[in-house]
Amino acid sequence: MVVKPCIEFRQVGKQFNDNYAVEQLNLTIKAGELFVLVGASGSGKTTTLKMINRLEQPTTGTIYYQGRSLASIPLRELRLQMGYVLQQIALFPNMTVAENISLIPEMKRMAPAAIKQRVKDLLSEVGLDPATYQQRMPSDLSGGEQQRVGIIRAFAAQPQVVLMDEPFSALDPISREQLQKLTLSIHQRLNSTIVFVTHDMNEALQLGDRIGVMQGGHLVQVGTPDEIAQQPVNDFVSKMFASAQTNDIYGVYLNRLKVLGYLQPLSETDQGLPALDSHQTIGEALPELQKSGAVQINNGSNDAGKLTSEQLLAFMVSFQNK
Amino acid sequence: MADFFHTLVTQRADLLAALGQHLLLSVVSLLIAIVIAIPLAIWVIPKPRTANIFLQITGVLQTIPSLALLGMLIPLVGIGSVPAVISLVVYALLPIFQNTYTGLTEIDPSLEEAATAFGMTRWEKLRKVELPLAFPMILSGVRTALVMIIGTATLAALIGAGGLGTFILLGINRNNNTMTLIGALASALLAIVLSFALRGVKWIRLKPFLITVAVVILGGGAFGVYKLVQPQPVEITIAGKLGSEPEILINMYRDLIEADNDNVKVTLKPNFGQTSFLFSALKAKQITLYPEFTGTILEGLVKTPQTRATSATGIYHQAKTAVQQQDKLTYLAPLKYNNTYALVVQRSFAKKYNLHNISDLAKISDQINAGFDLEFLDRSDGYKGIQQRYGLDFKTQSMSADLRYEALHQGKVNVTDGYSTDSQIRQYDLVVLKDDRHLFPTYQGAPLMRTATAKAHPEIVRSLNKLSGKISAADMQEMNYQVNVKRVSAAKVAHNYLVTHHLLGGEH
Repeated sequence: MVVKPCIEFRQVGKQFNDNYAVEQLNLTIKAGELFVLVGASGSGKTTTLKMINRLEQPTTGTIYYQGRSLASIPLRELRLQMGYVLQQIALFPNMTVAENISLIPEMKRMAPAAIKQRVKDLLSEVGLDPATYQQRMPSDLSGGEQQRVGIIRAFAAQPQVVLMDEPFSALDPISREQLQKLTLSIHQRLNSTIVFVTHDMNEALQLGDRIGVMQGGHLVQVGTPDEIAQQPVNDFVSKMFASAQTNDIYGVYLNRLKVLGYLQPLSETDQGLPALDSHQTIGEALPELQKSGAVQINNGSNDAGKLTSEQLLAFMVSFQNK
Repeated sequence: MADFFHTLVTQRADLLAALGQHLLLSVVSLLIAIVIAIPLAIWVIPKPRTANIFLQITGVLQTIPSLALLGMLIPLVGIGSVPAVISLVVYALLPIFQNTYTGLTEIDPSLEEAATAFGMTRWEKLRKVELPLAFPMILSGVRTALVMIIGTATLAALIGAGGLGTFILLGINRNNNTMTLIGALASALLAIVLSFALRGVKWIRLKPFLITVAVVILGGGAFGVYKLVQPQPVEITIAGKLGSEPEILINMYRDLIEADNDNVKVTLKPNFGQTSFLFSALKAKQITLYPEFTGTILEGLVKTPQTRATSATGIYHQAKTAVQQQDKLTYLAPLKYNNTYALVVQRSFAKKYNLHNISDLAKISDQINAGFDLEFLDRSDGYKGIQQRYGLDFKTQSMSADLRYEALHQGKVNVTDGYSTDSQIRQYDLVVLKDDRHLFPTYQGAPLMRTATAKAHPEIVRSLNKLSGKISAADMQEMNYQVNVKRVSAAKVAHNYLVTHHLLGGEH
C-alpha cells in the first residue's frame, strides 16, 4: 500500500521577535500514522504542532495538507478536520460531558440522533459508563477521566488528523499508562493521522509509529523507534533515549526489549506460547514467563518475536548496570 | 406605629402607583444599560486600550452627583421620565460594563485556545463558551446596577418622573416622617426583592432574552405610535409644586375646567417638583399650566423691575407684564389669599397682651422669646426687616422649620415665623399678627400658562378665572389642615370648597 503524505513541512521556520522557535523544518507525516514529536521544552515541538492547525503562522516556508497549501484552506474548514487535545485538557466547564463531546459534531451539523449515539459509544469505549457520565460536569471528574473525555471530544467528529499537545504530562502515572493504551486502540480503530507532542522519550517509544526528535528548534532525527534506539544520530538523541529508561523495571514496556534486540525470532514450535502485546509491561509478562519459560510478543498484527526467561534476565542485568 | 399603618392604608393607591412608576423606571433603565454596556464590553475585548478609555469614561460618569446630572439634563431633554432614565442608565453603565469586561478577559486562555482550535467563530465562542463562563460575573454587575438604580430613582421625583421619591419628598415637605419612611422602606424593599430574584437566575438563554428585549421595545414603540395616531380630545396637563396647597388648587382647576368643557381631558401632576422645574416644563410645553405666586415670579423667574410695586395689585400687574414680555406666558387673575411670611403667637398670648399687629409687640419686647427658622432670621424681608421697619429688638433663637410650631404650642417660645396659610395655624388655633407696616412681600397665587394656549382655549381661561379673588388665608389654612393633618384627599377638599362656595353644582 502506498501511503500518501498527509502533512508536509517544507523549509518551515517560525520566528518570535528575533528568535527562531523552529528553523528549516522539513518533515513529511504520512496519512494514518501516529507521529510523535519529542524534545525538551523550548525545542520547538509545540510550535511545530500548532502550525498544523494554524494556531501559529509560519514565518517562512510552506506547510501542505493533503497536497494543498495550508494557507489556502479556509480556517474553519481546516480546523473542523483536525481534532485537538491539550495538556490543560480544557473541557468547557459550563457544559456537561455529553455537551463537550457533541460540540464539534454539532458544528459539523451531524444529525442530533447520530451525535447522541456517538457520545454513548465513545464513552463506553473509554470505559466511562454513559448513563453515569453523560450529564456530569467536567469538575465532577478526576483528571484522568477528564482527559478521556478530552480525547474522545477530539475524535468525536472522526477528523482526518488529531493533534495532541503533551496530553498526558499532567496526569498521574497510572492514568497516563491507561490513556496511552487508549490512544493506541482508538488510533488502530479509526486510523486517523495523529501528531503527538511529548517531552517523554519513553512515551514516544511506546506510542510512535515514527518519532521526530527536536532540539533547539531543529528536527535532528526522524525514524521508527527501532531506528532511533539503534542508530541515534547524535549524543543528544542517545542521551534522551537513555534517560527514557524507567527506574521501575516492572514498568518497562515489552516493546523496548524488542527495540533493544532481546527478542528472538518465532519458530514453528512456539505457536502454543502465551501471547502478550508489545505495549504490555515486564510486570505483566512475569507470571506467564514463570509458567511457560517463554512468551510470544505481538506488535499489532505483526508477529514480533519470542521472549525467554534467559533474555529477560540478560536485560535485567544490563538494566541494573546502568 | 398606628400612624404608619393608617398612612399605609389611606395612601395605598398612591403607593402602588408610585411603586409601579419606580419599577418601570428602574427596569427600563436597567434594560437599556444592559443593551448598551454588554455589547460595548464585548466589542472592546480585543482592544485593551479602548477598553481602558471606556472604563475611565464610565467611571467619571458615575462620579457626577445625581442631582447635578439631572440638572444638566433639563436644558437638553427637559423634565419627566426621559432625563430620569438617561441619568439612571449613565449610572448603571459602569458596573455592567466593568463586570462584563472583567468576566470575559479572565477566562482561562487554554479554553480560548481549545475553542479556537475547534474552528469556532468569534460569535460561536462568545455564545457557547465566553458568555456562559462570564455570566455569573455579568449578573453580579447587573445586580449592583439594579440596586443603585432603584436607590437613585428616588431622585426622579425631583424632575417630575414620579416614583417612590414622591413619597420621600412629600414627607419632607409636609413634615410627615411616616410618608418619608414609607417611601424609603418601599424603595429598599424593592431593591432587596429584585436583587434576590436576579440571584436565582442561572443562565439566561440568549435568544429568548433578546426576543424579550425586542418585544418590550417594539411594544413600547407601537404603543407610542398608537397614542399618536389616536384622535385625541383636548388634553390639558396641570402640574403643581410639592405640598398640599398646590395639590388642592390644581384639583379645583380640574373640577372647574371639566365641569364647563366636555371635550377636555385634564391630567394632574401633583408634587411635580420645585419652582424652576415647573417653570421650565411649562415653557417646554410638557405641562399646560401650574399655579404660581406673584412674589415668586418677580423674585426669581423674571428680571426684577427697578422699582417694586408695594400694593398686591401692583405686584400682580408687574409680574403679569414681565412674564408676558419675557416668556410669552399669560398670568391669569389671582386668588384672594396672600401666602407670605407671618408672625404667629398663641391665642391666649395674643389675648393677654391685646396683640393684633406686629407693631403691638413693641410694648412687650422684653418678654418675647422668638423661635425663627434660620432663613427667616437672615432675610432682609424677615427678622432683619422687622428690626428696621418696626424698630423691634427681642430675644431670638434659631430652630428648624418643622420644630417651630411644636415649640410654640408647648410654650417654649412665644413668637414664631410661618406662612400665612400653614395648616398648623388652624391645627393649634394660633393667631397671625397683621403686618401693619407692609414689610412682607405679597405672594398671591394664580394660574400661569402659555399665551398661545390661553388664546387657543378661551373657555379654559374663563373656567379658571372663576377662582379670581376667591379663597381667603383662613380658607386655605383650613384646607391644608384637612389634607395634612386629617389626611383627607386633596381632591375631596377641593371639591367641597367649590361646592360650598357655589362654584360648582354639588352632588345631592
